[in-house]
Amino acid sequence: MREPLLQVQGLKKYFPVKGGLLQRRRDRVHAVEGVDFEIRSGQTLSLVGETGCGKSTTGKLVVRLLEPTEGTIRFRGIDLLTLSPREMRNLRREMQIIFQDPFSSLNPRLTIRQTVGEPLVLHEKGSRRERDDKVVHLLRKVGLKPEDRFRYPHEFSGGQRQRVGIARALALNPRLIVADEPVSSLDVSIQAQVTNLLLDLQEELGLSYLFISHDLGLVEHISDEVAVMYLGRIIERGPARSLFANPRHPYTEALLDSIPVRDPRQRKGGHRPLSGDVPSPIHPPGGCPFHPRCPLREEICTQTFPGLFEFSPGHIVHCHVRGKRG
Amino acid sequence: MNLSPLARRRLAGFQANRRGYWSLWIFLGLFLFSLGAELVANDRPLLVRFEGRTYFPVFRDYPETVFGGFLESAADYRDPEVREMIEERGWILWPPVPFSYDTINYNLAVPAPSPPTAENWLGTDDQGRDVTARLIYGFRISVLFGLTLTLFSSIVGVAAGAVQGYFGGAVDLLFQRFIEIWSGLPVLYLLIILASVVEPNFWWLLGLMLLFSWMGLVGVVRAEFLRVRNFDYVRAARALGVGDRVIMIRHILPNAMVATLTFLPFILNSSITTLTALDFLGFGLPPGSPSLGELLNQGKSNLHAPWLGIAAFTVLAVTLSLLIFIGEAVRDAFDPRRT
Repeated sequence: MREPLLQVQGLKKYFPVKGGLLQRRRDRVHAVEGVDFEIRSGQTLSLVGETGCGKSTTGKLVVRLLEPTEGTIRFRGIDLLTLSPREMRNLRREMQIIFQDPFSSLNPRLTIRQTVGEPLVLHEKGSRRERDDKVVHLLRKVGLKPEDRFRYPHEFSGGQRQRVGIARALALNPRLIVADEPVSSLDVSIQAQVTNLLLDLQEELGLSYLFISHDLGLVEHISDEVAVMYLGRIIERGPARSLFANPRHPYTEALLDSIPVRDPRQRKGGHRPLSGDVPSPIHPPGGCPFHPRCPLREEICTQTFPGLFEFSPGHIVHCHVRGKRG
Repeated sequence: MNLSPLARRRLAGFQANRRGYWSLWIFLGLFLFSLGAELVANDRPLLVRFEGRTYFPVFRDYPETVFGGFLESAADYRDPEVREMIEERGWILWPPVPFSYDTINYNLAVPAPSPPTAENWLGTDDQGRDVTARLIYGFRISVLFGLTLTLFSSIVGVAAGAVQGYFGGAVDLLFQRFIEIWSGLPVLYLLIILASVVEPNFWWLLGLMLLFSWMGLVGVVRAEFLRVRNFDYVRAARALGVGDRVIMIRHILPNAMVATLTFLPFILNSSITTLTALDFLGFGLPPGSPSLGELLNQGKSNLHAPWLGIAAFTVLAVTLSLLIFIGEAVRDAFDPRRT
């Protein structure tokens, strides 16, 4: 099998919680607590989970907007964390990020041409003329008009701004794009347009996506693989079809169960919402982080984090109970 | 002019504040007027017509021999003999105030300081120098000093605030503590001590005052950088590999400029005040320079000559008030709750 484009192993990120007289570190937020995954060229891995489960942090760690506390990130086999700043800067061309909020992700004082052209100025030697042509080309590619490049972000709608953000991310011909909830702040009709744009671009340019979302319906539609996160850990990961048809982890089950169905009578089984709240990531529960809310809880769940159990090829779950029976 | 809608709205907001708007024009008028002080108040004629030829003594030195005298040195046009020589075969055009700031009027009817007369509109000071001329030149040097100091302290202050806010963490913490200590120093005493160690001239004073005046802007700029550095567009730039310096200047600084601009008239104001205070105490500009503070001091020591104190006070009060009015209008125009 070919080497994966992106390989993440044992990724951890703790944020210090400061306080007191001298701003000493009093505690830490366990935002990402040992995450492993791979993305192959041209494929999409989706990270799903509730707010605060560490999926956005994982995305930012991958493009090194944040420095991991522990773990390795290999991109094309190169360990990103050992690179010098200069080498890292060169590698940044190949991995880009699209942000959730299209209103804060564009500098309001720069024209679209300046925003989209900025990476070109930085990484590509070329005349102003060539750069301008490239900007026009990029705008066309994301479905904007060439004359839009002289306008400012406030003259655009949310969906159009997100297209500008995509054009900026595409400017350097990246191979991996981290899409951090790229459509969740858009209207539903626009969501479909932008999602389709992302899919078209993937097909055309052979992009890989790390797609971060909490919209399960959308994720099912676009992903090759899905990883479910809970309190900083991936608790289940597998091919989209297998995972949606056959969720193994009780948390995944609960998540899928919460997708609204058009006809309530078609709902499989009774609707059993999870009880309780997500515990604080400052003091995550020991053992399996899900155990305080888990309907299948056993004694062992409170003591150790379950190892990996593979159900079908590529479909893995971290669960003591389901692992035993499987 | 090509302005963004926001800038246009701010300009309209500034113009809507009539007091500030007119203050700006009056101040600009006064400042431009004082920039041409040499043409308004000078002890050399603007124009001399002599034997069919035209001379411009304001701009050039002419030896006395040109006008038929015997000295090789530059002609002193206030000398009655020189004046007579020229007027025999030509004429002289004087500026409205025929005194420069250091011209001593030896033909006073009463001992200096002499009260206002038709010749010395606002009287003379205790050394027989024309008060009007000294006010014009004093205003100019005060404003120029204030503007220069404001420019330099903005550059230093914005840079310091930007570095603190952008990098945050330990840099910010140490820098903030340093500023707290530095701003706790008794500035006026230090300036007095320093000014007595060196012979102060314009640039020395500027440097000394810059040591303390740069802190005014650090707070606002730092706050703005702390806020904006976590915006997604800054993150996007970082993910694209844009360097720290470019991010600071291109993506964050424009946000901080609004706050900076609002502060500028007030900083200018305090610069002028500090310079005047030092001059008043005698630790400011070198002796003999035209200075509002020095004139105030004369007014204090010559209470029987109220025109000194009143003149200096009026000019100072008008200048400072105009600047405050301008500052208020700028502040209102940039107020995010209004625009």
